[in-house]
Amino acid sequence: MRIISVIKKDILEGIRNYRFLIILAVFAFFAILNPVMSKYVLPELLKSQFQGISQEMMSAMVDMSQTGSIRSYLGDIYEMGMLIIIFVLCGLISSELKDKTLIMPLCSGKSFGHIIISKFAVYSSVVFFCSIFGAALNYIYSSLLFSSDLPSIVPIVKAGVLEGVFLIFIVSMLILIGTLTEKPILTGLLTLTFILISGFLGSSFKQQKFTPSGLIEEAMKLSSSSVFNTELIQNVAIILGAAIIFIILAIMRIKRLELTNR
Amino acid sequence: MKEGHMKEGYMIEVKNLNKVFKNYHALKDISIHVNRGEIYGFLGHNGAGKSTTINILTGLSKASSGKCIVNGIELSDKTNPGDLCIGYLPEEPMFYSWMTAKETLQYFGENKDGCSRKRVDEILEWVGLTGAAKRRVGGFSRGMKQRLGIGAALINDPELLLLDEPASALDPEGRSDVIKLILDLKRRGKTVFFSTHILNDVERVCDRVSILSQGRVLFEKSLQDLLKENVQPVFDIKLKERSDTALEESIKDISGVIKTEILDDLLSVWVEDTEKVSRELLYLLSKSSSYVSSFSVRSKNLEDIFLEEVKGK
Repeated sequence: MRIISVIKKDILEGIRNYRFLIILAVFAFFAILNPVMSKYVLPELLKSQFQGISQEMMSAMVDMSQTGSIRSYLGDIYEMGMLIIIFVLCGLISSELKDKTLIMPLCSGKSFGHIIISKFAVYSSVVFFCSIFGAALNYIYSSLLFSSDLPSIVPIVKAGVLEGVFLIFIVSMLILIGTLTEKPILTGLLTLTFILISGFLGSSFKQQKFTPSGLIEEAMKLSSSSVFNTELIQNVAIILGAAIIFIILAIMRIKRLELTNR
Repeated sequence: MKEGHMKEGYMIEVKNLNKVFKNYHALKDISIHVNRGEIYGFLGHNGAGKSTTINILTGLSKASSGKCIVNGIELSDKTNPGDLCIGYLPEEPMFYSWMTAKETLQYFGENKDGCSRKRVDEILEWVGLTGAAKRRVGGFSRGMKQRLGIGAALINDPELLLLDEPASALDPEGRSDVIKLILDLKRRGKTVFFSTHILNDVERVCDRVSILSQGRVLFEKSLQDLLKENVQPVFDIKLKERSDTALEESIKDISGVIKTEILDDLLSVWVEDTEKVSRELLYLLSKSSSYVSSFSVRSKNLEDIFLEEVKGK
């Protein structure tokens, strides 16, 4: 199959340009940093700021439990991690259009569809599995530092999956906006703006289930009881459906582009 | 995509092709055809519309109007460049800088039938990049990228090659190598359509040429006919001595000679018909005591013709 060679190329590119490594490092960094921050750094900071603060007061100000540490990790991935991932992947397709590197592969027999689908498949898989890996690493590390207060690993895996779906949506947006703007930084900024505005509107109008950030809110609940919750499945289906539509639109858009005159 | 012309027909057929960019009419009613197995030179100044035409022929750009049949396929808005089974070398080939030369060719060659390592090695050797096969393309010079581009255009063994200024970025040695590669392609029965403004290259390799100026095709002819048409009825005779008035007088007496002119050691003879006069003129020169260092029929070279045509329009 011709798409296999495109997938192999995208995997090799991710390795050679350190994109995979950066994404993995982002998750590993926050997964390890958050328990350390919650356990050691934050209490020390509070002690230095508020002389004679009691343990109870400190606990009231900062959630110094495993659950609190994991929530903090998920929040950091949503804020900082997403930002880094967006700017690492903002040139996925826009850089190729800007640098005209698609011309020769296309003339040698690669198709527009294969190129877009391959990028989506490769980077979606990477962010999805890195998200689950990060959540699992955070769970294991926080278990070592705090007394375990979660019934099982299920809420963590669920949180990792939901965050992974959220990031798959971001990858699809980066690809679609990349075909529209053909400029990497603008693609990143527009994607970020869309995510933040949709999150704000979703929470303002209590329609989180229709927005990507609703998945993060659900992940942060760390509940194990609602794995097959209908509303959650609906939310995931809406976001994945939107991602697929974005990819179809990206293929339609790139087919219409004049690849040579820019 | 429709099956257009029969495979036995022209390799490229363009009829009334127009391309308009917003307010700029880049191509105006272009009509050309390229026969199978020939080398076709597409000439024109920078900005004449050569690359625009090639971009349309590769399927990378869409025509505003007109009909294009490439390798038996009529181009439409739905044509994928990969469907045309062509080899294409852009004016400035862009590659993935993180790939090695070998990986690049392997990637471009991995299509329906896969791509054997042997084929990649053969192409690398053919374009003279065997020694740089494992080097990353990001570190290549412009000339090396051009060679790799030619290799990439050939990797799928296409019948038709579209080369946009293939030798413009190369040094004289590189240019000569590219010309040899093109001649080798002709021997292998490939059709080559190449654009250039280096007219010396065209004279060395092309079967037919067309000249494009301001988006219009000025003419399309076989190179041989073109040069023959532009033979002037003048003999240029280079003499060892500065002037030989006796010889000049004798030449004037030949029937068909219109006039003569001496400029330093060059004696020019205007005639009515070169074929009729040449025999008698040569006979007279052989009998003369003057030493003749060269004897030629004056003809315009492609550069003269090109400049005349482009300035005339």
